[in-house]
Amino acid sequence: MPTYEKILLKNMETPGYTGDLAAYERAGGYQAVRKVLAESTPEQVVDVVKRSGLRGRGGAGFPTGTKWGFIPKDPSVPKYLCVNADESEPGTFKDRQLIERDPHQMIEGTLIAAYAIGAKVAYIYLRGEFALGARVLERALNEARAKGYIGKNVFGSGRDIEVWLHRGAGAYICGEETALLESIEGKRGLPRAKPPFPAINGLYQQPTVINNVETLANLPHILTRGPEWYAAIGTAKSPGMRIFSVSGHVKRPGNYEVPLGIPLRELIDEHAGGVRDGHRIKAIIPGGASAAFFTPEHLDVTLDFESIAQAGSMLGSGGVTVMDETTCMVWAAYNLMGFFHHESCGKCTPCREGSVWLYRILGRIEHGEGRPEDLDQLVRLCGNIAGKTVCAFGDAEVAPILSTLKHFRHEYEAHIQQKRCPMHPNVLAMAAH
Amino acid sequence: MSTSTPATTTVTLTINGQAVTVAKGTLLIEAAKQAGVDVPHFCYHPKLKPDANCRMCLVEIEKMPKLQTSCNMPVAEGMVARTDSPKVAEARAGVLEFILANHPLDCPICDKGGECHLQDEAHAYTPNYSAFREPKRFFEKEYFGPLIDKEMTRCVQCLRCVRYCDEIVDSRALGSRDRGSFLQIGGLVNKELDCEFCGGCIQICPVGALTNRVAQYDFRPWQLKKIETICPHCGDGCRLKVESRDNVVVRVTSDAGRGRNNGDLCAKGYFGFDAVNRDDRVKKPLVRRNGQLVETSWFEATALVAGRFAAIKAQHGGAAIGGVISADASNEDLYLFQKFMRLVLGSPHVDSTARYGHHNTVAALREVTGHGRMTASYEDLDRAQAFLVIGADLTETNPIVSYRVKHAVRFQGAKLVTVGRYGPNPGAFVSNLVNRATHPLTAAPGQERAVVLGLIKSLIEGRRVDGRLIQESPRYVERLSGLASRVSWDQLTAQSGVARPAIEAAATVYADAERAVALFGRDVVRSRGAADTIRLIADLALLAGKLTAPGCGLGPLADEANAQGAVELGAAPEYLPGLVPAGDGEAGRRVASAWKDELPSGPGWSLMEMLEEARAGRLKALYLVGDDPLRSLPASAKVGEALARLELLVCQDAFLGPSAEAAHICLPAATMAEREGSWTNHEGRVQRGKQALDPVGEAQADVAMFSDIARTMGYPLDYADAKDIAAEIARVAPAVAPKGASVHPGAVQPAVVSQYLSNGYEQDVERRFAPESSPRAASAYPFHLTLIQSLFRSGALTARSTALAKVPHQAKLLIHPDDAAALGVGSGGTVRMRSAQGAAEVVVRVSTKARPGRVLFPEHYLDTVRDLIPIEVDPATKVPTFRETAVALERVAAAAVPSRNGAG
Amino acid sequence: MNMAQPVSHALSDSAKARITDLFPRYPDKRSVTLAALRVAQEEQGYVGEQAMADIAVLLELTPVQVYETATFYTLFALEPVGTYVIQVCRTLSCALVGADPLIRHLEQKLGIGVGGTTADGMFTLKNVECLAGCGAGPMMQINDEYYEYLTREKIDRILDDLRREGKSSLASGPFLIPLETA
Ligand SMILES: Cc1cc2nc3c(=O)[nH]c(=O)nc-3n(C[C@H](O)[C@H](O)[C@H](O)COP(=O)(O)O)c2cc1C
Ligand code: SF4
Ligand code: FES
Repeated sequence: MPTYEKILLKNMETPGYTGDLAAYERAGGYQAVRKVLAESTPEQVVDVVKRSGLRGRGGAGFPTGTKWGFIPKDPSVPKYLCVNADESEPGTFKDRQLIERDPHQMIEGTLIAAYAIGAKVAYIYLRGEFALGARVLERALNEARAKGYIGKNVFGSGRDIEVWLHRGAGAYICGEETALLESIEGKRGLPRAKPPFPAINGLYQQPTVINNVETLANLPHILTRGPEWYAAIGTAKSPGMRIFSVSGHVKRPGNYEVPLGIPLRELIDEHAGGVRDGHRIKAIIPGGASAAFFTPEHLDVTLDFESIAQAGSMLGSGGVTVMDETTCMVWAAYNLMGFFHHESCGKCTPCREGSVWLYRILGRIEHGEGRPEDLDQLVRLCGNIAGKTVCAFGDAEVAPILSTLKHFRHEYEAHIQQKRCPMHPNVLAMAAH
Repeated sequence: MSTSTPATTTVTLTINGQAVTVAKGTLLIEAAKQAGVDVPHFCYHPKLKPDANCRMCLVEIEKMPKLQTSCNMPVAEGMVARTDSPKVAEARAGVLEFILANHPLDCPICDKGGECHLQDEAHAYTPNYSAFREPKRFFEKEYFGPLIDKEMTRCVQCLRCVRYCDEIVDSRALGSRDRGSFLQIGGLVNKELDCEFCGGCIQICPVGALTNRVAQYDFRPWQLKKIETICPHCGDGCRLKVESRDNVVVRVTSDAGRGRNNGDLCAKGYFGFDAVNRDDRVKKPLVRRNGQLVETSWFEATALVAGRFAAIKAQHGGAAIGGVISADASNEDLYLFQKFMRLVLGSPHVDSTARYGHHNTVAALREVTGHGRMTASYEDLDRAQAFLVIGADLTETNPIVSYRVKHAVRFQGAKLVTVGRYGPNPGAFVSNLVNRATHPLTAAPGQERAVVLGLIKSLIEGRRVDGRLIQESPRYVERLSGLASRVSWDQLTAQSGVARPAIEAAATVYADAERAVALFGRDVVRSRGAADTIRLIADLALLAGKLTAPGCGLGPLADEANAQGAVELGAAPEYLPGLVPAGDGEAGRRVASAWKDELPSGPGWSLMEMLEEARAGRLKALYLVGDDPLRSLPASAKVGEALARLELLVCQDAFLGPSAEAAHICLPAATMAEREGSWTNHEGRVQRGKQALDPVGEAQADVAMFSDIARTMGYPLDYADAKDIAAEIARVAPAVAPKGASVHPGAVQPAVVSQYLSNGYEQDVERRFAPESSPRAASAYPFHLTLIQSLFRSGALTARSTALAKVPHQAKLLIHPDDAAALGVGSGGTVRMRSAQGAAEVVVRVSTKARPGRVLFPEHYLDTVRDLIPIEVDPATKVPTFRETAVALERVAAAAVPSRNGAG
Repeated sequence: MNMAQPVSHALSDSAKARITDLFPRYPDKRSVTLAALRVAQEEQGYVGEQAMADIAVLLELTPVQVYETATFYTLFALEPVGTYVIQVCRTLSCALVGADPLIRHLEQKLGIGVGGTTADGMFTLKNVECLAGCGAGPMMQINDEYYEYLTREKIDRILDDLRREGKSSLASGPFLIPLETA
């Protein structure tokens, strides 16, 4: 299988790598930020990142340098950096690995980003369930603080950059950037209506940048090896390496760091070892539960933001879930709708009311109580949610339904005609909630 | 005196093809409204920060791929928006379908039916069938307390109630619970609601999720007769809408955008009105026959009153008769009453309950500002950058002013200096200004003046005295500087218990703010040496250049609805209408000639003097209109003895209070809701109220009774209606007559202030710069008790409200946790409180609002507590003080578990 | 009127200290809410009313503001729960590799349904949404520890370990998959 030079996973995949500060520095860690603080202005750092073409790894894929550029320059205004370590997109488990195995890599990235946008304080918003990650990060932050890499006058640069760990407490929606801000402010994690946007009016009403763990982990490498080097990896519009989390019916589930733009087929068959023996791929979710289902026809789509969008789904969080022919698509959609119903924050009408309505209808169909008119009803309700909600969760929750209806409508019809799930007789169990 | 708001540039946009020009920063939904386009919405409310959660207000904006919510979208130059496109219509229908999906069809039994946003929008935007075939969501019904009903199945989760409770009231007692489709609003866990009970959540609920239990099920909105009047419960001057059916008040509301309160109310205004409906109202005239008060006819009663007044006047002269009227009365009542006393009875002895406090304010400020009104308007409060709030527990005394102050502090970043005896009590559901103070100066009780003096000292020593003042009135500045330097910091800090740096920091905040307002309330106005303290506050404002500067001013706060009018219209021995000194021959003659009659000669007696003269037998008859001194004054005032010696006691009131019980004749009076008139709030705003109800039984408006008695006594005082009287007031007292809505009626009179600065200030100046130290707490009585105002009961009317009586935590002695622990009591425990005057048993509530060694008890609850307090009368202003004394405490009942937190 | 609430105790002074120690990290005390609730739960096993009232005073909020936040997050138990809270992932990736039969297995093994707590107060069984262990599913979290690549046998051993020693060596360490690359 084709092999690529690893960047983010390099250290941790080196046998014996402990991930503590000493090990990280032995591997060349903290050189980039030291150099940046000594030799570059914040503007220069922003410029380098712009030229590298780095795009956000959290889901939206927004160009990182451009995002930073929205932050007002006025030094008298306090600014904040929030690290989105809430990783909760079903099928995604890359940030957890970056945090638990090589915490200093993301901390160095955090320091670089904070310096670039002029933030004196950064908060790492860590998913509440990540207790081990919290222990690892606290230890790493203390190590760095003890060394003078965090806090007052970091690296003797005369700059103060504090980095605090802020633990969530169990709410998927807090990964949405404005819900994350509310949660740091100690409130319910309700996404904010935009405008105003975080770059102007974010945490504590101050200009704020929210960046994903993987996004930040790239920074030390970009600043060490230069934007041109980075831009040359992957495709022109989607440069760089990307960690894909592959799960489901594959032989070797795991995190694979590959250049953006390789074919989906290569990721699944070569890297993840292909589907279980004697089985066929039936469907693939290419970018986390919020992304539309693909079918085997899509296996040659290349894994970059544009191509996947063109093919009708999204690269999203990089969580690739593979389903073979034993999987009922109605059941799968129902399972994910269970997730979305459970995680809707309830702030806005279409999602609050729509999520429970869709969940009920899917439940009936899966349990053999579907009605022919349900299918058009599903499509209509999804249309009344998508694009009309406060946050992108609304668009996310309809994707699995609309895409399975599009590619597997016959399975829905079979459920309704046979008044049962043809593939999961004991499906009731699946619905447990 | 409103400031020129920063010049707002305008923006031009297009809405549905129509060009609109609006102020920059306007929200699209408001711009549309200005263009006559109504965008349907549930969660948006002009009072609240946009939350954009209901999604009903989606509109199409050119160059934006998605529909946008117009409630949080600021307009932009050249913006092109459509609210009427098919896409928008479809989105609205979609949102409504979602809302209606789980909404019950119980409109027929919903109190909101007929005034429900959801009904309206549903009719307008949805097909009347529903595609929803699933079981409807169900919420366990929760008992939410006796006053407010919560029906979650009707809730549309717009959170307007929660946001109102937080942003406007700062009670933060309502919250949202759980998430997703289980989201609901409520209080703590499944507890009954515990809050300020302002009713705002009910008023702002777009559907029937929160309703008024006091008015439950017994009306349909369209059946109600809705008449606006003015609230009788405090000086804020709120406009109320009395909604009645069959002459019974069903509920009271207030419309956003109306009145000085802009639709906001407090518990007294919203829930406190039911007293009007009570059955124990006085409904017929009563006369005493062999010891008993028995009903009689108006004809007989009027003849009797007129006859007895005439007889006493003939025998002893008019000067043997006195009259006292409540400062809740209308301007027309007050004016006509004093005219009746002075001309018909020929007595100079006329006074009002403004004597309990507001007279101190007027006495102190009349020669500085020209009157006793707030020289800063409510609009100035909204825009202030700094507040100095002295001796005022705003939430409890003047809720609407408190909403404005808290809002400016929380959302405009205004600085707040509080000077007073209350401590912060975070966690409490009844807000407390000190909790929001950026500079809390918590002082020993009665030492507000020492702190004010400290502020003055800081200004002078910190060279922060207004430059223009130094140039124009050097002598004034020098004189005051001299006096200030005589007082040592050691003395001030020792007396007040406030540290010098804290005072200096506060002075800086006040002096450096471009727009700063100094408010002061009953802890100043109703205590010893009040007039001196108030003068000193005026000096502070002058020295800081904050008296006349735009957006600045003084804010004397009144407890009573018309204290202002009572004094200004001459219901006081020392003033004729127009705040004309009764002693002033020239001005007096002008009033007399307007009246075409002689004024009674000789100085008049104030309330307390009348009582004393009655005891001495020199006052033979007393006419009480809406006042009940036996109820309001402590035993030490010996009111009983005074009333007992009278030959004639006439009480005109809506209820039979203790004084009325002792009267010879009682006349049934109409309440606020039952008569028209005008009231002057502490800003000096004269607001008209209409008659909402017919008086119960044979009750009559006060003015009508004055006229009847006058006519019977052969001295007709007849007027067509209240407007007719108002017209005469404008003629006789032009100085205090309303000048129209645009002018702030409390503006400082330039001539007066310059007179004050040239030499007026000399009067008592030495005295007010020498603050007395509070008497040492004697070991026998180690605690200091203050009678405080309660948000839930401020007088006879509210005391008779069955609804307000249901509010939790009332009539409790607030005590600091340390003292409670030392006494071994906790919230709910009982203590026996002793003073030199007597003893009383009270239930305790642990709260850090009370400072160590100091306890607080609400006035108007227990006579026994009021009677613990000795009365003292100010020699100059004749204002009685009876709100503080030293007490001893001992535990009585076994204590409940001491609650560790200061909540409460 | 008010449903009986489980007795709720005041926060200890050490708990209060742990909370106030965090104030310097934020410009606004309210930001400490989540951490404060976690401290309360660690000390008392769940978040009771008195604890919320105490937190409110420390953070200068009303108890309702603390309660609102507590009800939003799944990790806060507002009523007492078992010593060990078992959260089994039910979301797609784990379901694809057999989470469901294991949930049934746990129900039988513990003799309770999802959402229940064993009579001895030892275990509470819950479903949970994706815990970012998809590649190592089926998986579950018990209190702070993750347990991955679950089988019936492995679950039985974990439960026994916890009953006996209060901990299990089968808990996952720092995450890295696929394993053989390490
Ligand atoms: C419902 C929802 C959930 C999200 N969850 C996450 C998450 O768990 N982690 C994450 O990094 N981004 C998440 N995002 C994306 C963030 O909102 C945000 O775009 C991202 O963190 C920005 O960082 P980036 O530019 O580095 O990608 C989520 C977005 C939505 C709408
Ligand atoms: S779309 Fe869903 S998750 Fe997003 S704000 Fe609305 S209700 Fe909350
Ligand atoms: S009114 Fe705009 S979203 Fe509710």
